[in-house]
Amino acid sequence: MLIRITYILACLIIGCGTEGGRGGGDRNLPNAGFGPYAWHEEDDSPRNLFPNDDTLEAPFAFPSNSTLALFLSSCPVDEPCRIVKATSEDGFRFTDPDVVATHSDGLRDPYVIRQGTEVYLWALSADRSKVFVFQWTNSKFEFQNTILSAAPGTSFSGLSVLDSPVGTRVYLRHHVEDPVWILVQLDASQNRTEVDLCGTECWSIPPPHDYELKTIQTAIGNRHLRGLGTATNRSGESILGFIGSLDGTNWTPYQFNPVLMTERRLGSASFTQFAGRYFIYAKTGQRMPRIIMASSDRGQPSTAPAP
Amino acid sequence: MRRLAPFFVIILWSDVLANPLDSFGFGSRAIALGGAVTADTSSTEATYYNPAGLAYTPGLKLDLGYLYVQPDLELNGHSQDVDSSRGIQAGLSLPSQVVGHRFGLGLSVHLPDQHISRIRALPERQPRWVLWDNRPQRIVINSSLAVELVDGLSVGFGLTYLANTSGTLKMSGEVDFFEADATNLLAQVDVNLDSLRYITVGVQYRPSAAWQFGITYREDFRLKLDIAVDVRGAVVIEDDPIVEAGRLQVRSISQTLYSPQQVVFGACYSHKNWRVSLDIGWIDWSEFPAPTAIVDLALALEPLDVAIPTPARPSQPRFVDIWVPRVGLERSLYAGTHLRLNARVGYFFEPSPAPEQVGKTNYIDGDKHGVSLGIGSDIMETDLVIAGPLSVDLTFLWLVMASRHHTKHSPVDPVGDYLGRGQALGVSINLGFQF
Repeated sequence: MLIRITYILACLIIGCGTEGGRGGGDRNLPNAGFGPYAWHEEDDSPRNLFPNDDTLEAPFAFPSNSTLALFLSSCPVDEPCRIVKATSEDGFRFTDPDVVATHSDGLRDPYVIRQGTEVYLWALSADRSKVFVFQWTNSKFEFQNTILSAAPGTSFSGLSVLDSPVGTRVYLRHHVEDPVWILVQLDASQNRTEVDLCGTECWSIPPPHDYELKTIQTAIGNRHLRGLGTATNRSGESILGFIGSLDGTNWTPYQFNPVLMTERRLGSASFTQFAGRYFIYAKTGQRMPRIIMASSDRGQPSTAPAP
Repeated sequence: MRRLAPFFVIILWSDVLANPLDSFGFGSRAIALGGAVTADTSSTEATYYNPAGLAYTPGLKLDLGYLYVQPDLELNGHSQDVDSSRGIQAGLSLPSQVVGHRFGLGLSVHLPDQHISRIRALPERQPRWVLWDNRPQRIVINSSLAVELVDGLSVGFGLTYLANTSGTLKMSGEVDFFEADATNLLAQVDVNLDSLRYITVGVQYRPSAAWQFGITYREDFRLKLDIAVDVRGAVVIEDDPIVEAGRLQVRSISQTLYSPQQVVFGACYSHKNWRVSLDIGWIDWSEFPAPTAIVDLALALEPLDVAIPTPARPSQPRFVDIWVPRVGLERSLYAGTHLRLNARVGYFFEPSPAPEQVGKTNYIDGDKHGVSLGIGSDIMETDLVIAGPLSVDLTFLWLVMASRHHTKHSPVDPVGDYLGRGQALGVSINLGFQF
């Protein structure tokens, strides 16, 4: 009761001020993709975007002018994993996925970036021991190069790619005895020039935001780089949180993390801005994976020009 | 008690800064001349621009006018729906003679017809047009007097009145954690609306018929909204008091109105049908305090072990002083026996005192340009029961807020980068009755 009274009194005193409102402007701000987000549900459960396909994992959202493409790994029984693509006009409903990239080693964990007029697909081999790059040609991705191979008995995860002024930067988590983040520097022809341990840089997040970044991707922003992290505790509850960077090296957590929570085990979350909204797509479930989504209606696109 | 924690760190600001006269001016003629009338004012407008001008009031005059300004301020290309500013601007000026010296009294009022006053508290991060927004929503009353010390030299003194608010809500009794109906609290409200005054001092010097000079000083002032809540009582569970003398104290102090001290120098030159006036004003915005409301809470529930985090202090706005140039031009178009017509044009430039917003605060305001155009007429020998002419003044005002881009240092700033710009259109009409 005392808490309630305190709350009511304090509300009266401070006018129950909230962001936005008449004369404010909160609704017209870039929002930066930080939320709030809400899961899209059906029957009190996050809606499965592809109810007819339980082979899909690792969604990666890639917006263009009028279409949002969702690239996913598809691992059918008795067939090698491959990369498929579904498209949407609104970000909520997608077409059935079509195969856009294959490899004899299998493919998973897609990551797509546009560099100039070219579009490149980055993906791990099915056993996550190699990193491949493909180039979009004639409505599908053509294999271009093998960027990196893991030592026997080790693997990669958390593939993310940045198109930085100093060339393409590939971030990977290398699963050795003590997993480390590594940074692969590429030249303009997508050839590897340097491999560094990230150490305390790269994705390392200062405390107290100590949740594990299993998947992190960059997305929209005039000049800022955004990362989306997921963490799952032992009881299977997951949280999603953002980090940001100006240079791709030094990263700062968003102070109001987590932006989204769920009692389900999540993996491979991707977020993007499309059609005036921000979207988060994620995989949930192990044996019967599902692709679910959340959105933020506050995702007003920023019309501010880059400085 | 952890549920309370987010509440204690909320810092809010009130968005009412300066006053409508500083924003748009007072009186149709003065607005038409870009506000450059420090050296050239002699009627009710003088109560704001330079009270010394009241010594040269030609006769008892009643002014009744109306000002309407409709802003269109944008953030990232979207309108902010900032309220219009409109209200009655009226005044009375009275000349007299005291021991052979010219003497003048003036009284003026700006009475907004939407809000007598408005106080709104919003989070500190909320992007705001801190120099526009709601500062015009305020009643202002000026009273001034002036005396001519020697031929051509007059001094004036004015007082501006505003209201300050403070109050306390006291509650005492018993709080039952599990039975709300058993909670018994007595409330007592004590709120005061105290008057607050600040001074305006002016000097006007008229060495010849062609030249006039003036200087005006306006004192700074700030209004605070001070509200406190004091809750005393026992906390009981099923008739068992677990806290016998509990106390909750909540205090909110918010700065609801601030106007910096100002010094304005003015000169006016008349030649034939022309009159040109120049003003340059210094505005001490560097003293601008954080316009935030701070909520302090203290909770004593012994023997329960509860603690309240110390609220964070507001960020300093780091405003800078500005110089505001103004220029006005007036030409007599027609001067007949029954009618006199004057055309007026004015301009002013007000640089933004707010630095680029790279951190927590978000004062959007950019530089402001003001262009005005007006016409004034004096109609003699009306059928009204007034001895002097009936003055009719009409002014159109165009204010432009230059585009300003704010780039945040933090890559995870929850507000992000933004672009602010806008404009406002206004009209002012005034009727003057010379008795």
